[in-house]
Amino acid sequence: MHLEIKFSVVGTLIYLAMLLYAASALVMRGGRSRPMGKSLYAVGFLAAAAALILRGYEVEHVPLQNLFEVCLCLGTLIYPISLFCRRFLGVGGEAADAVIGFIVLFPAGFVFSEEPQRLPPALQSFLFVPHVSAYMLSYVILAKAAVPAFARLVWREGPAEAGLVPHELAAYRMTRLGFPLLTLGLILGAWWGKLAWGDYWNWDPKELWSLVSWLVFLGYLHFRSIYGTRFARANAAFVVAGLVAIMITLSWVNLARMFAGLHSYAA
Amino acid sequence: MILSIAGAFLGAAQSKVLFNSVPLTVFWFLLVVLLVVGVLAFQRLRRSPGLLAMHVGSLLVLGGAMWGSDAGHELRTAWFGYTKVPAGRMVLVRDVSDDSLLSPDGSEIVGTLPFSLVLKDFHVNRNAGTLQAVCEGGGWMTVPAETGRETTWGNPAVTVRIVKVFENLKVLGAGTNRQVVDVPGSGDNPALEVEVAWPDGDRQRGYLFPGYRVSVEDSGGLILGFEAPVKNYESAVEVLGGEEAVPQIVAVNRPLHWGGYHFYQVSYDPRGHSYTVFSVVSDSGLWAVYAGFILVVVGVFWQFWAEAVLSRMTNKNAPGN
Repeated sequence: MHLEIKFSVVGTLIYLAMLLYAASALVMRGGRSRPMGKSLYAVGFLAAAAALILRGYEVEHVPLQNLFEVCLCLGTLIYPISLFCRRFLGVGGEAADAVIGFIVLFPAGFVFSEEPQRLPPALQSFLFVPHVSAYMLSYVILAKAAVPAFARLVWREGPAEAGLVPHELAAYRMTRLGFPLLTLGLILGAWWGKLAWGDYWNWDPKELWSLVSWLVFLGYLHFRSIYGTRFARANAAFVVAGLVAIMITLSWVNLARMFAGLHSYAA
Repeated sequence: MILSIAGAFLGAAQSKVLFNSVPLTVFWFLLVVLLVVGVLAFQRLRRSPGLLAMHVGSLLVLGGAMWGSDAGHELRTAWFGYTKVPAGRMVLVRDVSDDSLLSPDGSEIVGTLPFSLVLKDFHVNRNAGTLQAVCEGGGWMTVPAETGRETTWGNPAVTVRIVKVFENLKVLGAGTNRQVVDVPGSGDNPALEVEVAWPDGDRQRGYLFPGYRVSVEDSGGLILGFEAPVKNYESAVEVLGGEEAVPQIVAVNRPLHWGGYHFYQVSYDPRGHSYTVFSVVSDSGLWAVYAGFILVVVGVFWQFWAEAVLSRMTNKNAPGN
């Protein structure tokens, strides 16, 4: 794997979005200069969204086929999810969200090739968009959930800003938001597997790692349902472990040759 | 969870063996029993619609999967004389009816269907093709694969013109009598005939095939390719066994469901389209699995989304808050 710079319009927009996300994270850190930081974050989102739309126009399908497109999509989704979480869940952390946006755009900008690929016949299904979209949304939401969980694991309860819920509760609310989408992605994938490959479960490495991610969050929800906030750090550890499982599912399984399987085209 | 991680390292084939082994079969039974006991013992699971749906849904998925597994089929054959084959392959030759199911490697017949199929037609549908020009230094461009289209690229600039687009290129004859012709419909060998013209007036013709790239001499690293991506593979078959033959289509992502089996398009004869290959899978237990999927999804959204929205609407705190 080598780093490359993209000189295309899509590539330029990705770099612009990364720059703006990084700048907004720096400006917003510690809760300072929030209006300025939020504006930079919003403009960064517009750049990422423009790159995503342009990419879709270029490849003539919803751009979710390979890791370049998936990373671009993840980097675009983070901003609306930030807005939703602050408005409806009382969860802040926009500076960390901007960092997540920067991190997921980095491989799109420097690692993965943007050469367009046509959808192979197995991917030309009405389930392609809902299956991948459900997963992408859940991944971004659960990545955001891992930030307050990590903060709770390492430090004490926060945050300082009025109107926002403590870290442990923030991670729980985010997981409640993301877990149904993770479940939907898994089940739509199973349905699609039945239509395309003849079985809803093929014991493929990607499927098994998806199951691991799902089981970690399932374990967390059971654990928290039983013990509540009594073991807040254990709750947080579950959510962070879930993110690690997601990262393995999303990247390592696709990139490492040891996991070759039915989902290899996604690399 | 640990078993899933182990299975991911083993690969799909060995994982399937592991998860269908006797110790794991015991594990699946225990899991089902545990779920049933859980639903019966914990009143909270029965009182909450979301939790009940998720747990009953999980039971249905596990039960349906066990019912439809190879072991489930074998047990029913041993106990009840049930003759349904769990899975097999079917090779259908054009205009020859067949009801045999083969093993995955095609070496033996593993069963027969209660009806026959006959292949009437097969096509490969492709998306509009493109001529691709890639420069070694980076950058690429595509040109629609249409006769007469041309593009100029590279350094020194060479002109590439599409002379002819072939749906199914065939070479007839040999030596000086050799002829390159297009025979659409009877096979799948798309190709482009292109002419490359250099600034000094020199010209050269050649053929481009999907999946191969050709480096153009004296062009500063210009590489040409042809992409004609497959849109779908489609077999037109007739089902025999009733009073009348019933025409059906089997395509990728569009299996045929007939007589308790699903038929999936998995392979074909790329040269003359004279045969097609289906994967055939029994549908035993499938409807329980699908019902379980629906219950799990409805339950999980009800439990984690709908209840939170409803409690917000009634100005209460969400559960767990």
